[in-house]
Amino acid sequence: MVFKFFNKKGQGHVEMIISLVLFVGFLFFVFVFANPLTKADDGVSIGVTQEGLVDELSYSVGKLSVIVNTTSDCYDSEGFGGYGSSFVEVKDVVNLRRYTLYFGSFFNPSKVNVISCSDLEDYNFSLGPYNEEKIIVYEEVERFVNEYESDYFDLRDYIGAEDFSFNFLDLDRNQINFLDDSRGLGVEREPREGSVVISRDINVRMIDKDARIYEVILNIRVWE
Amino acid sequence: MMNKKGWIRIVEMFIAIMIIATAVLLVASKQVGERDISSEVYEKQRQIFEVVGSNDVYREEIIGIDLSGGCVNLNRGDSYGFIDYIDKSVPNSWDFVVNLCKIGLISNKGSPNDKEVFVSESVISAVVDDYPNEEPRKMRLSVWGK
Repeated sequence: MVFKFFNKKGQGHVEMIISLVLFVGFLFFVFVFANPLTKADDGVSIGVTQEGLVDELSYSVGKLSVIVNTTSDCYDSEGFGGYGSSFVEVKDVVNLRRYTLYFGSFFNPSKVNVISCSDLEDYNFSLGPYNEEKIIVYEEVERFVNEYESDYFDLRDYIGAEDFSFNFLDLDRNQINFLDDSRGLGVEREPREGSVVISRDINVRMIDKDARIYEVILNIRVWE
Repeated sequence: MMNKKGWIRIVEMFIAIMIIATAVLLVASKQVGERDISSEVYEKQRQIFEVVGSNDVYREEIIGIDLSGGCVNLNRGDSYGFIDYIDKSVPNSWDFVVNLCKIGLISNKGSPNDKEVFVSESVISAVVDDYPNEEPRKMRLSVWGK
């Protein structure tokens, strides 16, 4: 039997088996190490950075609409305690009977709990629904920009361990500036040469300490 | 003298490798070309609905549109603040249409039949005290690549 294994006829079978093994091995290698069926997983890392960044810049803000019966009426804040201890009032410039109250912990102290119509004597009003959402706070973004410029690496590790930069743009894609100076509300950092850069635009709302709302685009860039 | 059978085997092997490499490259290039953008589109639509739903001015515009015919079709260029907002929010390579309908009705007017269309809906309710008798309406945003 052993002798027969080495004859020429048997050698053909051995070649076939070896070539089959090599062929299957090659296919195995291609699909395991260079799998052409794998989809590019470029959304994961920017998702983590986006979540960390938005979370870091946001505060929980409550919103309550108050409608007074006539423009000679006002409202009182008794019973608002369940919504929060401090609010800022924004009077509607079109519908003068409507006030929107924003509840939060970061508002300008000089405007907190100030009721603009408190000199009126009649109190006839109705309340709209109360809802709470997380909104990016303008002053928090300014703080974050300063922190990014002074201590980028700690911030990067804290947010998500990927290199990143961000910019706040208006809807026409113009740079938004700090409230009190002309610095851009964003940061620039050059990616390493040859690195893959992933960029994403997110539509967000931003609120400042005077309860002014801005609809903006947050552009985030991430690279490894 | 060279062995002819050996040369034939080398040619066979070369052709086999070429066929396998071609198949692998074809599959790989197809994967790159067919990147799934649906999650990005739906995420963008969600962000748009979130902003439009939170903005009283946009909501008043939507609630103020006459829906006596059941549905209204709005396109890029219609002079509404929320349409302008959507226009500025979607990438230039996308096109969109908005169908505002009474609850219970559906309209796909304006959507192309020969493209992959991504559709999301949101209900916009009345603004406090401004439209107390208005019923909520459904905003259907259809987006597709140009």
